[in-house]
Amino acid sequence: MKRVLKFTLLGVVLGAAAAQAQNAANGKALFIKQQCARCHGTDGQGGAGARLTPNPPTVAAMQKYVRNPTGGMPPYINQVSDADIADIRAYLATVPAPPAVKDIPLLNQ
Amino acid sequence: MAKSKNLTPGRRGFLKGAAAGAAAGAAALVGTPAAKAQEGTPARGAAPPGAAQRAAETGPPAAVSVETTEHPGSDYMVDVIKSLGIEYYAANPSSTLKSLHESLINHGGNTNPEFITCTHEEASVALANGYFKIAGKPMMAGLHGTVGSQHASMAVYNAYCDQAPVIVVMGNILDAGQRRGYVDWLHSSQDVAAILREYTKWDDSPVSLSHFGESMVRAYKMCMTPPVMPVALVCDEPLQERPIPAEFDRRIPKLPAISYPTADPATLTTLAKMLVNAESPLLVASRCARTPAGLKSLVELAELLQAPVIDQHFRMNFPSRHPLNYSFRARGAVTTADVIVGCEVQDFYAVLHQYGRGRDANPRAITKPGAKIVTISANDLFTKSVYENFQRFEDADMAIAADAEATLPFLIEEVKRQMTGDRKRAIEARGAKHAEAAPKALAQARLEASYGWDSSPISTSRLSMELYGQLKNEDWSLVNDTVFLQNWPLRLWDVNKHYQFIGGRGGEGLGYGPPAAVGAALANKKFGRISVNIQGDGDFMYCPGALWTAAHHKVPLLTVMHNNRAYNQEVMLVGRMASEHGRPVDRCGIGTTLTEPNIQYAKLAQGMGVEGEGPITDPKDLAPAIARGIAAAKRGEPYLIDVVTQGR
Repeated sequence: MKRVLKFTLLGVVLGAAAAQAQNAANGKALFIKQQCARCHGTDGQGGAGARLTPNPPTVAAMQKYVRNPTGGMPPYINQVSDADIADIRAYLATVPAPPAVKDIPLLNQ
Repeated sequence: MAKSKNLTPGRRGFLKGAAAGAAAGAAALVGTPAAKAQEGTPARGAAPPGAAQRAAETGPPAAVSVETTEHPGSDYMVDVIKSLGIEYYAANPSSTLKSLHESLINHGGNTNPEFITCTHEEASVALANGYFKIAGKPMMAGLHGTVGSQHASMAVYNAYCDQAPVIVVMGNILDAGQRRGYVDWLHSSQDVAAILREYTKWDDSPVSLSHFGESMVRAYKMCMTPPVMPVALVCDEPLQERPIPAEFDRRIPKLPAISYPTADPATLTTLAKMLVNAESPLLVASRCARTPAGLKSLVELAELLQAPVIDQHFRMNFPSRHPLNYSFRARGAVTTADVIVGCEVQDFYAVLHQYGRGRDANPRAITKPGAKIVTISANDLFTKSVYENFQRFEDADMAIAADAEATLPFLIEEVKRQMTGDRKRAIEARGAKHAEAAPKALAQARLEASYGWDSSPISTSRLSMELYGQLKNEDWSLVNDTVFLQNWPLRLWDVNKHYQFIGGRGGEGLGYGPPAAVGAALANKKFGRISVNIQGDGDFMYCPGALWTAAHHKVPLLTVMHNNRAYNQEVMLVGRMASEHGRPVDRCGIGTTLTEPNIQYAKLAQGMGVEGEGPITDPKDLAPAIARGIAAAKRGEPYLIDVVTQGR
């Protein structure tokens, strides 16, 4: 019984991970397609728009801001769904932190 | 071309014989049917040639009388040009300037000025624009009548807005009786300079050689008197080709030493008092440093007052790593200042205000209540209809109509004179705070640069720092703007010499980068500097032929493509419109991207005789490519590296 439960739990975890990866892949595609990357950079590192990675805002915060931005960003009223935003957030969460500045010799010259 | 030995200077002679027509070599052919046909030949395919002209081009040489001119008027024109010390004449060859062209290369020996072959008149003028910003003096650009002037007009506008003197020479045939082929009519105009008049400081249409001499020297004087700007001189084709009249004394007018307008002593006393007693003075500079002396003076004044400086980077006004450099902390500096002095500032209103989100939203002043605003600008001495000349009206307390660079030394002396011990101590304390803040600002910029460090497409910060990593030990000059790569070089490089940065497009008109970089590199060549152009792809495609000019004239220039495969600004702008209109954003690549196919810039360069490599998409491949590029520049050759980059 314990063994069955273990496998079930493992399956749930793996399934969730797979779903998350799928969501992130969809989020990455949306991030490019919806022109987010043009301002925020393909890895959300910032550019003309704000930096979003590492540690992106929560899904709720992103959904709220995208509909009613207060800075220079135009409003995305209906171009992306809440689910799309969640997927985009899932993608941004996969972007690793950059190397520390002290470990980049070119940034210490 | 064999000439009659019997000819006396300034007189015409006639050679008869069929062979002469073939040997004439175009330059000396004047006034014969064959010559008329040749001169009427369409130079640029603007319209098909007539039957007679076609026959003249394709048929056997006729037995003709060939008129020669031993000393055409254009020889005198070249003598005048040489007296001004002009190094280069950039042009696309033109029928309306052909006699001047021939005189430059033969009578003038193609030196001072040397003919720089350009593939578009826009490139000729932009090249001269970039050249001025390094050389500190004007060069000439030749424009072919109506059509060449239209090609060049945007570049003239850029130079005008950039306060870059260029002496533009425009071919024309004013006398209807002298226009022979139909092309003469197409390429001449009653007032050919009219198209450039609103964005040149002055123009003239000389009708005699003495008139040309005076106007050429006057053109030089006017374009180099602040506000420095382009000027245009119409060069009448018959005046170039006719012999110099025997009675003409060939006098070359004298170019005076040019003195720059400065503020009067009473005004300087008042301004110095304001600055010495200010608690938070601020200096803002757009094109303050016309020359290295301007940079030095601005540093001296800033240090004397321990006043922050906002360099708007239209020139290299202030060292990037100076503790008083607040260029990327501008808002905080403006909101806390009690005296703000703008030195040749292009758009002071925008510095001191924040625009609202909507077009109709009222801009809001961000200055401290009661802050005193002072402008020092030679722009107050001259204006035309172009809005760039005056911008939005700023509520200044004092407007000083003077050249800022020339005024600063006098202001510095007056500040020193008024400085008291108490004020000196307060100012030193202020300086300590700025010195403490500067390293934190640099650390923050470095942290921001680290985000996306390993990204592909390559981040603009990585591109910039890979370049600097190898340039920093060389004598380098960055010869294009950095605004589209988030200004990383100006934020992170140690930029402290006037020639290390020259600003960008004065009028924000595309088609500037490649030719202006070639012009700046041409001026840098004699100093052995490595000129580097981080070049946007959209701008590049307007004037790619400038690369050929660089190869042809062996101009050492490293071009590094900031290839984001789009007019990225426009992707964002059209996207904003779609967002605001509640419509799909994902279609905003239509009309704004440069893909399908991707442009192969390295191949394009190779096709024009410039060694090139790329596209590079992995940041690890940058360093060896840059090393090869720098090595090529050191050999005196142009080189191009195509780097696929992030949008900004």
